[in-house]
Amino acid sequence: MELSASQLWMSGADEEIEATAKLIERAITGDRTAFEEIVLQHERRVFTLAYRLLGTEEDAQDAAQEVFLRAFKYMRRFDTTRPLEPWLVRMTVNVCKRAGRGRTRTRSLFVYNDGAQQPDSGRDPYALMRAEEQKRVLYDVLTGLPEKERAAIVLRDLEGFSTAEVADILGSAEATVRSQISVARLKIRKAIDRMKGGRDVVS
Amino acid sequence: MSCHEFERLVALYVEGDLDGTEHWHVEAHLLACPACRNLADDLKESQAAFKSIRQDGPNPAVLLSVRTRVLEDVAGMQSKNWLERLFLGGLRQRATLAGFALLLVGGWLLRNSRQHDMPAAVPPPPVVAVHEPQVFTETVAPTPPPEPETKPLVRRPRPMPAVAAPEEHVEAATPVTIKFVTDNPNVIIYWLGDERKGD
Repeated sequence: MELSASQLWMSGADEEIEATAKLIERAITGDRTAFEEIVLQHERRVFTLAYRLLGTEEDAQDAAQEVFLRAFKYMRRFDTTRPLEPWLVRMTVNVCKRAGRGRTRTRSLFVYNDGAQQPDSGRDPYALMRAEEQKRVLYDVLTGLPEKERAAIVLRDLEGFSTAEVADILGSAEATVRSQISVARLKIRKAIDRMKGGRDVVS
Repeated sequence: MSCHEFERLVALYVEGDLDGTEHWHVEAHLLACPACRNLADDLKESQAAFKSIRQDGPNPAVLLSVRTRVLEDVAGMQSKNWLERLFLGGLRQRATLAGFALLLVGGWLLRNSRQHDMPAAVPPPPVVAVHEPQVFTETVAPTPPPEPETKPLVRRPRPMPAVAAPEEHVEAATPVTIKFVTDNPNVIIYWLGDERKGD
C-alpha cells in the first residue's frame, strides 16, 4: 500500500513536529540560525515544487524566496502542533498561482546533482539521449497543461499527495481534482506516444 | 458506458485512485475490452515515465543562492521590524504612543496655564477700626501685602543693578504688640503687628 505524503510525514512525526516547533519558537524570537535551519530542511521540496509548477529555474527561485519570506512573516500564526511542510506546500502553490500569470521566461531543465542521477558512462549513449529527450517532452507537456490540471497532477503524481489532500491544498472539490488528474494523465500519455514514434519509453 | 467514457476512469484506475465500486467496475470492463486494456497498459507506462522526473533535483548552488537571498531579506525584515516596533508598530502601539504624547502635551499645557492664571496673594483687609478702647487709641497702619511666593515664569533679560531689591522693605519692619483693654476685666485683646521704620 502506498502512503500519501502526509501519512509519511505523520509516521514518526511527533518528534519532528516538536523539534520544528522549537526551531520556529527560536526563529520568532529573532534567532536567524533557527530560521536558516528551517530553510535548509524544506528548501529542496519548496524549490522543486515551484519549478514543477512554473517550469523555469528563475521563476522557481523567485517563488521559493517569496515562500520562505512569507513563512518568516507569518510564522507567529502557524500552529506548531502541526507539521510545517504541508503549510509550506500550500503556500508554494499559492505563490506559484500568482507568479504563473503573465510570466515570459523560457523553460530550463534541472541540473541533476545526485550521484544516482549522474549519467552512467557505461550506459548506452543513445539510451541516455532518449532519456533526456523524454524528460524534455515530459516537462514540455507539464508546462503546457492548464494551470489547475498541472497543479493537480504535480501534487498527486510527483509530490505524492492523496487526491483528498490535493483537493484540500487547492481548495477544490475532490471530484474536480480527480477529473483534472485524469485528463492530465491522458494528455501525458498522448504526448509520450507522440514522442515514442514507435520507440520504447525509457522509464 | 462506452470505452470513451471509460478512458477517464482507467486513467484513475492505473494509480489506484478509484474507490471499491468504481474500481471493480473498471476491472470488469478491462477483462472484456482489449482496447481499454491496451490503454491501461499505455497509461501505466506513461505514468512510470512521468514519475521518473520525481528524482530530478535542483543544483545545490541554486538552493544556496535562494537561501542566501532569503536570509538577507530576513535580516532586513528583522531590522525594519525593530524600527517598526519602536515607531510604527501595530495599531495598538500607535494608539499607546499617541496617548502618551497627548498626555505629555496636555500636562505641559496645564502646568503652563496654571502658572499664568495664578492670582497674586490676596492682601489682608486693611484694618480701619477694630475697637474704640478707653485706654488706648492707636491707629495701626495696614501691613503691606506679602510678596507672592511664586512668580510667573517670565524670561527676563538680566537683572538690572539699579533696581532695588523688594526685600529691603520687608527688613525694615519690626514686630509690635498692642494690648486692648476692654470694659470686661476678664477680656484682654492682643494685636500683633509690624511697625515700619519712619512710621
